[in-house]
Amino acid sequence: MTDLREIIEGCKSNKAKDQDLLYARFSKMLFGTCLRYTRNAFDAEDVLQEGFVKIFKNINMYSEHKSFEGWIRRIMINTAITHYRKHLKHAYHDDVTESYDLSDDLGPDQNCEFTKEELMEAINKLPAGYKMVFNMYVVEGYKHKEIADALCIDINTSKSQLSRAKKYLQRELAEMSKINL
Amino acid sequence: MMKRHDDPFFEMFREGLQGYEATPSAGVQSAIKQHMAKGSFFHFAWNRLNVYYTALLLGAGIAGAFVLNSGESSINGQIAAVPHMNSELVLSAVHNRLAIQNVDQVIEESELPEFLTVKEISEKEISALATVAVIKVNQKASTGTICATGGGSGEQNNQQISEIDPAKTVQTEAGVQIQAMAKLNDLQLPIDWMNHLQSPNLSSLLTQLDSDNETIHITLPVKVTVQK
Repeated sequence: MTDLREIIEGCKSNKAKDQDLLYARFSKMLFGTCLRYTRNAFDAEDVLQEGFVKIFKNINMYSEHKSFEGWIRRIMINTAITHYRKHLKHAYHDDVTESYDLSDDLGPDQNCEFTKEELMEAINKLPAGYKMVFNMYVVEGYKHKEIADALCIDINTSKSQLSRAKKYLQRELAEMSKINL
Repeated sequence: MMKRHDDPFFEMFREGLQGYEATPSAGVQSAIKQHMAKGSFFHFAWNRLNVYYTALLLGAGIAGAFVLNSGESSINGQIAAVPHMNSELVLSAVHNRLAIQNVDQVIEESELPEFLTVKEISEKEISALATVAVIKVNQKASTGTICATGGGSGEQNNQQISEIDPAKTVQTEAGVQIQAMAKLNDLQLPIDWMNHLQSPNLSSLLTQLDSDNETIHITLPVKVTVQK
């Protein structure tokens, strides 16, 4: 397998062959990330395409002291956030208008084992705003202040959306457990 | 407050989703490639065809064509040797070959009827005022005949001209004159009609000179009088 450093150098020289290799190596992982931040596979592919173009255009700015995977992942997440904000008024309007009945009585935290696909399925049922906050906080490790800045929302909104997302997911997983049983 | 790493629920998602992978459709990669290829065309790179090289090639091509054309026109004999922008010399060349005479009896454009019937043309002398005509000189003709083509703004006008003997006709840009000349087709234009071509105004002569071995095209303002 070609060394990643060589591929990166090739991409810096705008070599199509190395761009193909980079895509082949990271596209699946990054597409998985995109799917977590978007409503469907079509949107995820849009984000993936836009993100890769940004990666190729800005790869000269990549510093070798940092993790390359972390760098491209952050670009993809930022692209997904931009995509979310761009379509906020139209596609994601349901976030604001819909209300969810989320009682606190959800029982204990799930002890069952869930597959990645099941977790993804549950995540994908979240309203878009909850999904963004949940992914950024739980999976990527952002702080509420960073999430609030990135999504242009209040810190308290970020916190409440995370709390609601958690309850929502607990309910979804509980439903899945019942079905599985 | 519970931290994210203390929360087993969050931890379950974090561990489960961090390595989640999925395969995008093949169209994504081709779209990225297309985008990158388009973008790279507008950025300079010494080892790749880009907009700068393309512009350079185009410039060289245009310059080459210009040089070749100017070389050709300088070897085309007497008339071709006339400098393009020297209106007096061109006019002189036309005069020498065609013996154009001045005709005093010219009426103003505003006085022309909108349409001239065959009868009117055959019964009286008609003067037509042409603002611009394209004169085509046949250098090979022994009689030094002159024909006029073009000048009309539409295809219909050119068709009308072609119905008249193209070697013995004159055409102008003004609609009234075009109609008049078209009617002359029915009347068998006299062979010496070119004698009624009045000299143009020297100061506004020549906007185009395009020559080859047989013809020279001159655009000039001209007053035309046709007699029957």
